[in-house]
Amino acid sequence: MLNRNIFFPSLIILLSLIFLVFISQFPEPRYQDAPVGAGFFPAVIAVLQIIICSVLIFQYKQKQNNQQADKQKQQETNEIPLVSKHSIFGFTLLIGYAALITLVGYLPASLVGFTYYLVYYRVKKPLYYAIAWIFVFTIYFLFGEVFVISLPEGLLFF
Amino acid sequence: MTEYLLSGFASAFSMAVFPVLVFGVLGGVILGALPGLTATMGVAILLPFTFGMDATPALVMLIGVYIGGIYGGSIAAILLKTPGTPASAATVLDGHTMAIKGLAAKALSIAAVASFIGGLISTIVLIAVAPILADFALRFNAPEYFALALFGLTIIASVSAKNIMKGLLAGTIGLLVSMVGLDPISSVPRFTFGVMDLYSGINIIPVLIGLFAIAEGLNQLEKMSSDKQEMPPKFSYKLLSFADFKKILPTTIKSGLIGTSIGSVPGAGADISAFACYNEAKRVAKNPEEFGNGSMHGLAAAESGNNGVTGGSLVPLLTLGVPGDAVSAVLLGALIVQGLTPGPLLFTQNPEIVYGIFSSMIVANIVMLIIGFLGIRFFCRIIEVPKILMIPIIIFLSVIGAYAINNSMFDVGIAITFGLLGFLLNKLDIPSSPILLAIILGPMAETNLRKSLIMYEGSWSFLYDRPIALAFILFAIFSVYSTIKLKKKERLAEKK
Repeated sequence: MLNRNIFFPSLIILLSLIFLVFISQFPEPRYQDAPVGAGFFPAVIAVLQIIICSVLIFQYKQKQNNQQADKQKQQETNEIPLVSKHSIFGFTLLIGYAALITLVGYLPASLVGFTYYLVYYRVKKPLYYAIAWIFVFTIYFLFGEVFVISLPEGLLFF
Repeated sequence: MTEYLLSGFASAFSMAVFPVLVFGVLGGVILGALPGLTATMGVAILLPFTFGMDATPALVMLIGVYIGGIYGGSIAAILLKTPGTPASAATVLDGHTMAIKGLAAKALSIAAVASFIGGLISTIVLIAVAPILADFALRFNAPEYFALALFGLTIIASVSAKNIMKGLLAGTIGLLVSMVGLDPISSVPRFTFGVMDLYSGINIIPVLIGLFAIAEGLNQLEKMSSDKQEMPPKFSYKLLSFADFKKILPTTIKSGLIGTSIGSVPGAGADISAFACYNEAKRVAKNPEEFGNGSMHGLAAAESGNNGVTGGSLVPLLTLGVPGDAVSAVLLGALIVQGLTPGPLLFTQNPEIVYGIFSSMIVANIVMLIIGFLGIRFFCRIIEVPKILMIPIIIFLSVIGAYAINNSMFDVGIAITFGLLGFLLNKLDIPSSPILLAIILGPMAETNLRKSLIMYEGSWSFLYDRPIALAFILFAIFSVYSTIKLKKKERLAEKK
């Protein structure tokens, strides 16, 4: 199993190296008196990121070597999964809702999304469904009529 | 001046102005509480409504929205960990922890009182020393702005919870995100990968919504136990006591003054001010370890600091005609629509308008305090909403809020991406606040560093040649030193 305390900083180091390659392709400043170009600041940050992540990995390794108790604690932490069933449902709901809103617009997407969520969690109280729908219509009214902010209308209805 | 102020008060309490003022503050509080709808957006939304109004009620209403909007952001920040505006991001650190501990009513009352005091101090300073502050703000050039941004970035260390390195990592992620888009000096596209929407950079509001609201929604969803219908824990309706008030008063006054000074500098807004005041309060606190764990001082500093900006930001607008931030830019438009030209002449040609605005700001702060206190019982009911209903409300509201900024699904994508990032960072014990702080300050630091280098033909002497810049550099060094010292102390205390 991947150790998140090593994996994440290593990933950032890899990304920073990729960024440094991109940064090297930025054009150099042509005009006189411009001592630094577009790549200066991002390059400094990418290098800083590599240093910080290296320190984080070193810190973790040192802790692991020095304290057995900490090691056990870290292992326990690592055993907790990074994403659970509920969070995966959350991601899916979020992305699905964004996709649906693009296709059918705010009102149908929100009514379907909220209802689907309540059905997924097997909510039986009709009051909760009523509150959900009232919320959706209130937001529709508040944004559309009071604040005059247009809400997504959906590609299918154009 | 007194005569004009008194006449301004009479005007603010008149039947033609007072209802408009109350409407403005109330509208601002509601708008500010909704994720994605900032005080700037609130003022911009209500601007067209003022076209047919007289100058005084029109400006009073917009100022009411501004003051109410900055306070409103704290309500969602405290209760739902979803700051309505970037200015309330620092409020989350202690406000939400207080709410979790069952002290939501107390946290909301502290936020209302601190916002009121911050706003009041700011207005009094605006009335008394506007021209002097304007002169101070005029001395700011690229080196001073760079030094100010650098000082602001040192706050990352302070808001980094236990591990400074993790906070710094989050800060560098934020800085890299702020580099996306056209380079501010030479217009070279950076990290845009041919995507047109990225050319103008990444908007801070969807990032804020993602990092705080969406990430929190996902966290809550995960925490939800198998008992879905579980009711939230009971909490106390106890408000801020007089003893608590006495305790937080010095921090609140100091933060109000710092907020006013920061607000008077064009380009430095309520978000920077809130973090700067929070950092300063933590630095001088007797029990800094309480910060981040529900400290009243931390909450009061952040709230007084962000509302302190309301008066400060009007200094360059009214005295020089230079809008200091986005809200002042919209207010500048409102003044022009009313046939008024902001600048030194406004004080001599239309003193009744200027002092009318000042008086109304004091009244607006009082109205905000009353609405804040009257609303506490109502706002607290939000916590009692079952999680099973609250989580989708947060998620759906976040998506709509992200869309509403520019009517763009791209911004929704940004919010979702940062929501996932915030969720994962939370799992890795990496704080999200430094990302936000870095995105706000990154462009300011980079642009002004490069401008300074061009001004000084490649020399770095601007760092010690200019007194204000040098002062900020020294503040930055001192801030880092005191934070490291503080963290060491905390570690030692933990070992004991």
